Amino acid sequence: MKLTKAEIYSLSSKQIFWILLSVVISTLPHIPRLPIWFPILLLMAVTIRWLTVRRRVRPLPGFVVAFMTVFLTLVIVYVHGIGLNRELSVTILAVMTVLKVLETWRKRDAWMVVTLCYFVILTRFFYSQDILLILYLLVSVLVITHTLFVLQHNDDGKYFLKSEIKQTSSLMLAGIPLAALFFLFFPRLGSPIWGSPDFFGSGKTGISEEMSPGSISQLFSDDSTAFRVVFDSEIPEMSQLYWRGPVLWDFDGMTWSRNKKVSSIQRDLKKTGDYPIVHYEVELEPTGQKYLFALDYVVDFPSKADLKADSQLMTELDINQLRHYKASSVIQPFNPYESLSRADFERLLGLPTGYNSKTQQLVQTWKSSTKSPLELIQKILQWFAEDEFYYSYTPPLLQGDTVDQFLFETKSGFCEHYASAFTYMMRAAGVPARIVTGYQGGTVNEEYLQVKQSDAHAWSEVWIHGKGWMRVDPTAAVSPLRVERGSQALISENSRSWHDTEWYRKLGEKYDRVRHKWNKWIREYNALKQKALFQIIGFEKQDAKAIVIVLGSIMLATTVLVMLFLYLTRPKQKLSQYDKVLNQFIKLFAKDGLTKLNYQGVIEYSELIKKQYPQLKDEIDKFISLYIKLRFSKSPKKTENQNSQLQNYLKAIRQKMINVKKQVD
Amino acid sequence: MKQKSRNSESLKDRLFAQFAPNLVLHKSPETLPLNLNWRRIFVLPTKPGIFFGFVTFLMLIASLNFNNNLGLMMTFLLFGIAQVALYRTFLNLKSLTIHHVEAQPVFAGEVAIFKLYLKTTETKFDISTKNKSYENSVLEVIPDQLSSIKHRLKSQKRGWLQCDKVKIYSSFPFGIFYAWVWVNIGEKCLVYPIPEVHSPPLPQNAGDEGDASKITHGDDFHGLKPFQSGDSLRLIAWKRTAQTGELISREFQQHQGDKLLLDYSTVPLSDMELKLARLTAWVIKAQKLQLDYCLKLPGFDSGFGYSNEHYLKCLKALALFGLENETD
Repeated sequence: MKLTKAEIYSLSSKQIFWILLSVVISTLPHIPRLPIWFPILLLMAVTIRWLTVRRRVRPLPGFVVAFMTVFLTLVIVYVHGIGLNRELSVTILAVMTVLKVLETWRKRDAWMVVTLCYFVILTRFFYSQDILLILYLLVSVLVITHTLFVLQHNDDGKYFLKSEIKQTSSLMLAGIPLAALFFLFFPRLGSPIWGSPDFFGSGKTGISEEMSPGSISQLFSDDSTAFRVVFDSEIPEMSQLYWRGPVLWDFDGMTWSRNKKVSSIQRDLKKTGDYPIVHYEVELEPTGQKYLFALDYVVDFPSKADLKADSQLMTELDINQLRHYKASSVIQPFNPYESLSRADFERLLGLPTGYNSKTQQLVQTWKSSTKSPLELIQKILQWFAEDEFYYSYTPPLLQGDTVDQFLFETKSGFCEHYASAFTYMMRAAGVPARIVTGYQGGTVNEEYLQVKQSDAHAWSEVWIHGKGWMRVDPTAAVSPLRVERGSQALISENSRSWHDTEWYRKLGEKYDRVRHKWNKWIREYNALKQKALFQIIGFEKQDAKAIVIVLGSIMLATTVLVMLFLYLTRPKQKLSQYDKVLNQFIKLFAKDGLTKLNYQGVIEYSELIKKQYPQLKDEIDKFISLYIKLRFSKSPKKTENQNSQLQNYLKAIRQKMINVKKQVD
Repeated sequence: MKQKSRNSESLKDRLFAQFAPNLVLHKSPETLPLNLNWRRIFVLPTKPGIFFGFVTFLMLIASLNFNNNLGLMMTFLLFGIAQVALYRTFLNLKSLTIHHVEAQPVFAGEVAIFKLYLKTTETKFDISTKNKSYENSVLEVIPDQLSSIKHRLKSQKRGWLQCDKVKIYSSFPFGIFYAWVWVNIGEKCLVYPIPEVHSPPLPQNAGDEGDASKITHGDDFHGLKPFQSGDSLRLIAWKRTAQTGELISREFQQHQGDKLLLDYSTVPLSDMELKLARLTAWVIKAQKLQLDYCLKLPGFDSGFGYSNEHYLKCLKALALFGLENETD
C-alpha cells in the first residue's frame, strides 16, 4: 500500500510528540525485563519518527520496518523459545508497539498504537503491584488519554497546553468514581480460568537454597520486607524468633546445600513440655521460591503446605504472589519430632576430606577432654565468646581451608561464618549437625512484626541422642546483641552505607506500614472479600440478580455524578464587566416579555425594544453604542470609567422606564 | 413485495411520528435559527472507540483471571473515562445553534460553500459537517460569537442547489464516541450554467474581438488590474508586469454607444443547455469588457446595462431558465 505524501505527513508534530511520549512511558518500566537491545531500539525508533515529522529525514521505507519486524521476532523466539510464556508475550508486545511507531502515518495507525500502549502498561502490573505503581498508573493513563485528546483535537499549538491537559485530567477525574465502585463490586473470579497465578512470576529474592560465602551478606544491605507477621497474642521475645527457612545438609568445602530428596511426612505434632505455643499469620512477599517461613518449631501449618522431614515448610509452586498463611509454633530450642535414619546419620557427618586439618586437630583434642557433646558445644561457644572473634559484615574473603582460615587467622565474620565453622566442628567431632537458614528477629511495626531481608540469619542444629535436634546459634555467643535485639540493633551501631541513617530506616518502616495496609485493602482484594462486602450492603447472596442491581445502580449514580460534574465544569467564558451590565439590561426588559433569544445580536434586540418603548430610544442607543464600543474595540483602554458610564446609562434607562410606565397608568 | 415494503415503511414512519419526531430527519426544511436539542442527537462509538473497547475488554479478562487488582483498577479507570467521554461528546453537540446559512452563487461543477453560522453559550470543540465527498470542521465555537463552518457541496447542474441534509457531528474529546445530528437546512445556493469553454466571439452586432480591442485602444485609460483569463493579450501592461512579476492588464472605461444584444433565439445551437452555456460565456465576456449588453431569453429581457447587479441578474436568469418549479 503506497501512501501519498499528504498522508505520510497527516499527523502534526504535536500529535507525533504525544504518541512517542505514550510509547516511551508505557515501555520504560519494562526495560529491566526486556532484552538488552530494547532501549536502543526504542531510542532509535523514537528519534527516527521524530526527525521524520520534523522533515529532517525521509520516512523509513515500509520494507525496512517489515524486515526489522520479522528479524526481531525471530531473535525473540530464538531466545525465549516458542510457547505461551510471559517473557515472550511481553517482549513481543513491547517490540511491536515500538516498531509500529515507525509506520504510524495516518490517524488510524496512531489510534492503534496509543490504545495498545494501555495494554503494555497493564502487563507491567502482572510483575508487581507495589503501591508506588499506582502513581505510575495515573500518570501514564493521563499521558495516553491526553494523546487521544490531541489526536482528536488537532490544535497545532503548544505541546503542553495547560487548558488542554486540564480538560483531559478533569475528564479522567470524573471517571474515578465509576472505577472505584466497579473495583469493589464488579464480580471477581474465585480462581483463574486459565494459566496459574504464577504465569507472571518475579525473580528470586531473599534466602536461597544454598549458602556460599557472601550469599547472606548480600541481604544485609537490603531493607525490603521479606514478610510481615501478625501474632494472635503478644509477640514473643526477640531472641526466640527463629524463622526457619531452607535446611542445609551437605558441605563441599565452600558451599552448603540442601538435601533435595527429603520426603514430606505425616507427623503427630503435639506440644511438649511447658513451652509456650503461638499462633500467627504471615504475609509473605513473593520470593520466586517454595519456602514458607515459620517459627521453630511448627506444630500447625496451612493445608496447602508440606512439612518436610527436616521440619521445613514448603509449597508445591513457586511463590510469585503475595501469600498469606496461618501457622502455630512451639517456642522451644529443640525439636523432639524428628527421627534420624542410619543413612541420614552418616550423611550429616559428611565432610570434604583433606581440608582444614588444624580445625580437625583442635576438635579431636577437645573431644577427648569433654565427656558429652553438650559439654563440647559449651566449650566451643565459650571459645567463640572469649577469644578474639568479631562480628563483621565485611569480613576478608576466604579460600581453600576456609574453616581453618576463619577460626585461626581472620576470626571475623557474621552468622554465615560462625554457623558454618560450628557445624563443621560438630561433624568433625562425630556429632550429626546441619545448618538452618532463615531470618531471626524482626522489627515491631505497630500491630505487626516486619521481617526485613537484612534480618537474614543462619544457625546450627545438632543431633543430641535422646533429645532430638537442638538449636545452637554460635553467632549469639560472639554477638549477643544480634540475637537479643535483632540485626537492626547492630545496624544502628555500624551503618552499612552513607544513607543508612536511623531516620532513613524509620522512613522505610513507615512506608512499609502503608504498604501493609495497601496489601490488606487493595492488593489482596478478592472474590471472598467482595462477597463479604455484598453482605454488608444487604445482599445475602452474590447472585446474578444482586450483581445486576448493584452494577446498574452504580452506572446510574455515576451518570448523574458525571453529568453534574460536566455541567459544573462546562467551558464557560468569563463575563466581563460590560457583559454583566448587559445582562442586567436584558433582565430589565425580560420582565415585559422581551427576552433576548440566543441567536439575536445585541443590535437586533435593541431594535425590538425600541419598537416597544419608542420613548427610550435615545437612552437605549447611547447604552448600546457604548456597549458595542467596549465589546468590540480592540484597544485595551476599557477603563473602569467607561464601565461605570455604561452602568449610569442603564440607571437612566431604568429611571425613564419607571416614568414611562407611570404615564401609561 | 412492493406492497409489503410500503407497509413496513409506513409503520416505521408512524412509529417515528409517534415516538420520536425529533429523531428523524425533518422532511421539510427547518427554520433557522435552529437549536440542536438533546432529542435529536445520536451517540455511538467510533471505529477507534470499538478498538478501545476491545482492548479494555482484553484488559478486563486478563486482570480478572489473575485477580490483578492494579490491572483491574486501570481497566475500570478506562471504563470510567469512556463513560465520561460519552456524555462529554453528547454535551459538546447539545444546545449548539445554527444561526443562519449563507451561500454565494457558483458555476455548475464548482464546489458550493454553505457557510453555517454557529452560535453557542458554552465553548464547543471540533464541530464538523459531512457529506459524501467533503468533511469540514471548525476547531472551536466560542460563546457569543458567530463562528462559521464551511459546508462544501459539489454542484452538478444549474439552478438551485439545495443544502438539504447536513450531518453535524463531533468526536470530541477523545475520538472514541461520535455524536451526530441530521439537520435539514432549506438554504439554497444559486448555480449558474457552466460557461462554454471555447466560445465563439461575441455576436457581430457589437463587433468581433478585434473591434473590441480597437475600442479599448481608443477609449479612456481607466486603471490597472490583475490579468484575468479572457483578457486580451493586447491589454497587458507589459512594463508594469515586468516590474511586479505578475500579469497586469490595462482597464478601459467603456463609454461607447455600441450595444450588444445577446438573444437566446439567435444562438445557432439546437440544444437548450448548450445555448445557455454559450450565452453564459458571452455574458461573462461582455461584463469583463464592460460592454453595454442586453440578455434576451424567452420570457426575460434584462435591458441594457453593465453594472454588477445587471450582470448577476443575467446570470440568475440563465441559471433558472426553464426551471419553472424552482422559481424563487
